[in-house]
Amino acid sequence: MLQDQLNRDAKKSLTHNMKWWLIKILYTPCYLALAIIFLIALIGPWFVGDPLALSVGPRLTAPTLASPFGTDQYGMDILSRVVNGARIDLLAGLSAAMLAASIGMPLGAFAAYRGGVWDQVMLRTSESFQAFPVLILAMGAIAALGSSMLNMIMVIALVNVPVYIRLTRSAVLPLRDKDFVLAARCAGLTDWKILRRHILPNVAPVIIAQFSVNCAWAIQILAALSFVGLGVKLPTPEWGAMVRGGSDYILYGQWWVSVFPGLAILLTVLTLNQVADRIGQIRR
Amino acid sequence: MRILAYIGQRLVLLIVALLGVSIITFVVTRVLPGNPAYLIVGVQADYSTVAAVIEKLGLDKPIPEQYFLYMKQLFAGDLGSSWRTGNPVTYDLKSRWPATIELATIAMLLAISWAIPLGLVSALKKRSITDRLAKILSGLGVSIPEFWLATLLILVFFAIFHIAPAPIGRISRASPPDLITGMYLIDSILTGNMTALKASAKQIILPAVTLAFVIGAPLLRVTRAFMNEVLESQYIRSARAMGIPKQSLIFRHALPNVLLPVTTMIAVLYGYLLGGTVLVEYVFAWPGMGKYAIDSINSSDYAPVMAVVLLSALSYLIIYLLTDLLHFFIDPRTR
Repeated sequence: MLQDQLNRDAKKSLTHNMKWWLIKILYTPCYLALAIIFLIALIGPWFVGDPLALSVGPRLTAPTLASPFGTDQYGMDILSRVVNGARIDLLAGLSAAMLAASIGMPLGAFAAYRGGVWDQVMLRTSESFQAFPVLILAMGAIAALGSSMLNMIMVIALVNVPVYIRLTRSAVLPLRDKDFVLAARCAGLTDWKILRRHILPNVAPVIIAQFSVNCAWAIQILAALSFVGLGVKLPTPEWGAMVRGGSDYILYGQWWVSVFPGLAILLTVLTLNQVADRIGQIRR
Repeated sequence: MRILAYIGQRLVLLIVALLGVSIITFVVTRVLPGNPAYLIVGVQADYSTVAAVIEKLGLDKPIPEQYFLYMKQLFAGDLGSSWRTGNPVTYDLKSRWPATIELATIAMLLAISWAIPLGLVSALKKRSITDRLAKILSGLGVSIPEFWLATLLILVFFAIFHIAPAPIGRISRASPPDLITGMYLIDSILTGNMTALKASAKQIILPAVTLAFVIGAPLLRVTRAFMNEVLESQYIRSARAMGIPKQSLIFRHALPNVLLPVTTMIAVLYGYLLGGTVLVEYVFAWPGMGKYAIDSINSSDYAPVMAVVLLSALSYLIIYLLTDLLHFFIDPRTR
């Protein structure tokens, strides 16, 4: 009887929660924009044509009703390519940020929690990393390792790890000597359990905000790598590669080849940054 | 006396950081998979040639010894040579390093001149049109891919309106001035060469504006945020209650406190710029360090890449050190 009641309550609160989330998403412009971008990446490719279909007819045509974003130098439809690019760029950005977080967060938390030599080593290493021109380093590594998608995600993640180390460290540091942590330690919990159950939930908002910024940054680096010709190569519909593909035609005023994919990068990165700002505000 | 101790402490930290930097570059060049010997002689070379190159590069020695040799080479000022240009890297950098510094400095000055005033005004007049504008601009500046912005500027000012010159490097339709510092703008002023000054100023505007917009955004944010914080502080409230006129309230009481984080931000951004003009240099064919690095990467020429990485890391660390020392003079609390 009581069990049933509890179950029902749980279900109700779940639907209630979901409703609350939905309202929140719909009424916060940046959440809504993010939802739309993800929706485009998920189901958009089914609604537009083949991004790799070459046209035998006119090429480099300006935007018309039939192809709203125009066609590129191979006659490929730019709208279709931009929509398909959302999948590639978002996926790469998310995986790179996720990988960076999963390496950097435990390291930073560990450094702050243990303190001492480990902390100093970690801090100095990530500081040295900050001095590097990240993009050149990433370019060099990609050129040496080869430009497969997996390599790119790994390299982009790696250059982002120090950011997470420092962030998590600075978030965990003030919590280390808080009473609830001491109490947990008195209760005989292991360090790992204290970190996971008592400290990490408290730093989650900072990390989530950073995750969003990081996704944005990863997408920017990926696009930049492709733009200089080291990352994704052209027939693949990746935004940076598409901007590169059109950059020769810019000089003659054929703007649509570069402008639309660039706009897609801008809007995605802008949205992710706004979401991070928003989450940061909630915390305060 | 305390400042000497402070400088000493910072110098030790600088050396530690440099050691870290050298280890990282060493690992990237020597220890990562991929044999540099094959890059030099080609994959089809026979075994004895490869062995000879390996021995010449010292790749058969144990890794700590290789690191020692590498450091010895660095201290001798030998950054290797580029087989793409056929010159020692130090020779190549002599013309490219000033080009990047020139671009970075002009961009930084432009960024300071738009971002800081706008940040201050937007903090002083909250929810005004200026504040909204500042928010939009800083949001855009952080998010816009700089290579795309550069492309757009070329489209608008070169391809459509024909105001700007073609994006083909540091100077066009004039011969470069006699080189003294290697920075065309300064050199043409020093030698009184007005044609070169005009031509190189025209070339630098678009790349500098691109960078200034991107770099200005975080500067604007920091200025705005810290000015807000200061304006809400207790001492500003007391000063206002004491009837201090608004002008002196802002310039004498609020501004000096904002200066500290803002100068730090400027230093960080300038340090970033010295290694971060890559994309803009690429788009505008600006013959600086970034373009040198990309061109070298594209032809698997690693000595220049590592030299560029080392040099920008070094300049970043030095700029950071100088800012900290500057704070010693700006901020009485650190003394």
